[in-house]
Amino acid sequence: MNCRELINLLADYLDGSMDPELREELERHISMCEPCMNFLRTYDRTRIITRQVRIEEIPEEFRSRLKSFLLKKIREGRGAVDRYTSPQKGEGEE
Amino acid sequence: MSENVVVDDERIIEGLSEGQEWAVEALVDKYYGRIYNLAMSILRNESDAEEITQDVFMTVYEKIGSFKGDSALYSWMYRICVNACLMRLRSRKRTDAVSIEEFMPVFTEEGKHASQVQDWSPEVERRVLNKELGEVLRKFIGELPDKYRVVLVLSDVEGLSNEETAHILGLSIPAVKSRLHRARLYLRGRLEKYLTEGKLDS
Repeated sequence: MNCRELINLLADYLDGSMDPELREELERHISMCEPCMNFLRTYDRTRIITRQVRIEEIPEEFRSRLKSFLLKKIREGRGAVDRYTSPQKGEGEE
Repeated sequence: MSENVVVDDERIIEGLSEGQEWAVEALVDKYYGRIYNLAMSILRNESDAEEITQDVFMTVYEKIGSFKGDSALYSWMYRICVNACLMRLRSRKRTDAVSIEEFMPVFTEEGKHASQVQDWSPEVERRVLNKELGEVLRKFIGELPDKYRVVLVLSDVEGLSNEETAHILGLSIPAVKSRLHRARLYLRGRLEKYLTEGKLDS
């Protein structure tokens, strides 16, 4: 296994889906190759830090705005359906 | 307040099929953060993300009858969200598309690293709580071509398995793996340049 081949296997190595024999070969290479060791460390760190971008502030007022928007739409839609299905006293009529 | 009560998906689905308003509210309480975050990660624009989130919830309400239940509710919602985001992106003119090739590792003919590889991972560790690093990373993710970005967002930002990402995007698992790997290589290369040379531009 050369460095190029090793780098292409990093994802499998890190998610644990690699077969044990290949894993052993990869680890043997890494233990003797500093560039690959450094590449693995920085690749893994990149993967981990990416998870952090998810923690964003979600505007709380958006939740209530979203609810009002949906309920309004749903009531409007229901009103239209009711007018067709039960013309005498539809729920959607205000 | 009822906002801390998390309702089972099954009950929500049942309530939605009956057109119950409480089910709509429960659905929003449970998933608006995840859907908004996903849309925001892909679109990088607040008003677009809000609009897409609205569309996703409306679609879920309207199409709940066609939800098969063979996958998790969130996975179905993610799929609706990703499709809506991709449609939105297609309508946008992108002027900042980058070539990811430039940041792929380079090897010699014998397959050895062509240049020195430094270990700057402790530097990332040191700045992990630093807001700037998060901003920079978001910028780099935003530069990725769409097909790489959606895979990276689902897998590495949202933490889904390759199988789930493949299912949501309608891709094969090898395709997901290959795109994810290249997206990570790009981010790694960008971060390296930023951390070792202080360069923000590609």
